[in-house]
Amino acid sequence: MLQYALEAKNLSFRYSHNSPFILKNINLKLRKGEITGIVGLSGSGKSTLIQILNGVIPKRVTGFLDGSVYLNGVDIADMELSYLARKIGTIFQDPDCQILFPCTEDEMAFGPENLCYEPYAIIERINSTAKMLAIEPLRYRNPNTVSGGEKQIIALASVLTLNVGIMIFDESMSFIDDRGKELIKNAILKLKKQGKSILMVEHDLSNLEVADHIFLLKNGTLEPFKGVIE
Amino acid sequence: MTKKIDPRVKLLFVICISSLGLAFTKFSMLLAVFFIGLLISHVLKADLFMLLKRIKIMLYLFVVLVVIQSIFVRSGDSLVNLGGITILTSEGLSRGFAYLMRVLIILISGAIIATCDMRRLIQGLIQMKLPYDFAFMTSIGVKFLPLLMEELKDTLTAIQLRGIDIGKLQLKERIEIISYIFTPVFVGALSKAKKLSLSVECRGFRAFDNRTSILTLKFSPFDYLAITLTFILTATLIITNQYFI
Repeated sequence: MLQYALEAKNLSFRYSHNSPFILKNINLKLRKGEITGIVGLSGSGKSTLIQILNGVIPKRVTGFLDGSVYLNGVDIADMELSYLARKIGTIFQDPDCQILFPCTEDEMAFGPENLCYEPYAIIERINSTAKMLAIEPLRYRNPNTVSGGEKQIIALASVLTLNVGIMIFDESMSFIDDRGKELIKNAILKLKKQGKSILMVEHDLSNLEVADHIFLLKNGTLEPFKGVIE
Repeated sequence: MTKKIDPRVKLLFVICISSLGLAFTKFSMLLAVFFIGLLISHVLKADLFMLLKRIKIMLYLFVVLVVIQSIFVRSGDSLVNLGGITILTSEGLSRGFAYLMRVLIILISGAIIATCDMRRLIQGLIQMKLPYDFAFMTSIGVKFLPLLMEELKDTLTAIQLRGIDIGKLQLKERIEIISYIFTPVFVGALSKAKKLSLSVECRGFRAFDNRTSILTLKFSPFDYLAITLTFILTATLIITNQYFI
């Protein structure tokens, strides 16, 4: 049986008993070394789906969830969020709500430090991530003084130092200009080459030109996108 | 020098001057603590003017509080008398200035702490055996203050762009506008805090009781000298206050 890096089976979700279903019977499979895109309008449930896939729902945000998410074939229901943090990395929309420290290197060290890696191992990870994303010149700079695109790259780097196999991008190109978008897309292609499973969720279809498969999230259901990207 | 000094030493400076500021009641002693704090903040290149600019609105409040403090104290010699009613006494004036000194000492303490690199400050607190989640909580609070101010400014600008000149409004109307602003600013700040907390949890924050660090702080000989001088100076001020003034 083919094992997927991340698989959602029959997911349905609503925030309370009285509220309508945000997601209805969603099925999604992420393979290693592939980029999957999801496009949908604001309020279509994109962020809710991401929070279910990375375990934030129902572990931190409560609601009524049916269905399961499998990480390498194992149900994530019993996994701690801290364990999932080592497997699934999430880059959020607004880099200002992700960046904590006034130095890029400290930001990149934050995740591995939380997971109690040895300092020398953390430095090695910072070195390799900075090299891979070509952000060595930003390493000792204050992330609050760089461009939006560079900020988002730093947010990405701070997740990559956790050495996760699955990367989820939650509208991470919304706040940045064209140059910044190019930076992010190039980084995503590099991650694909490394064999990482990537999920990009966007409301702007043009940001999904690097995706191998695109799905449309509409009225809480997920279906293959049949249009074209111009 | 600002970068060289260990943040734990800066914390010691702040603890000493703010404790002395709160403990002393004599105006001359408070003035001495104020000038020592001013000297330390100057040596550490603390940006006092930026701080004063940021809290400009609050400064008016402090002045009003000093005046109220002075007027309502009845003891001491009468200094200003209107139609047989004492408006200001020597004791009231002295307490009002003492209050002003305390406020200024606390502000200087804040400016000294602001010279610390946030990461080094967190590490300093952790090495002082403070649980790391508390250390982060403090510094995240410091990070969020300017964000909150920015949000407030943006909301005020949005209101002004709709044609309301807040400067020309009467006090009652101004208070009403502020009550309208409070909800979006508060909700916006809560939303940002929620996003930040999710982001840090998704990076393994609080996964374990301890965490490692690529940064380890070590006291330099200069730090030891600064600590010794701080203790000597604090003891001297306490003795002077107790026996000589």
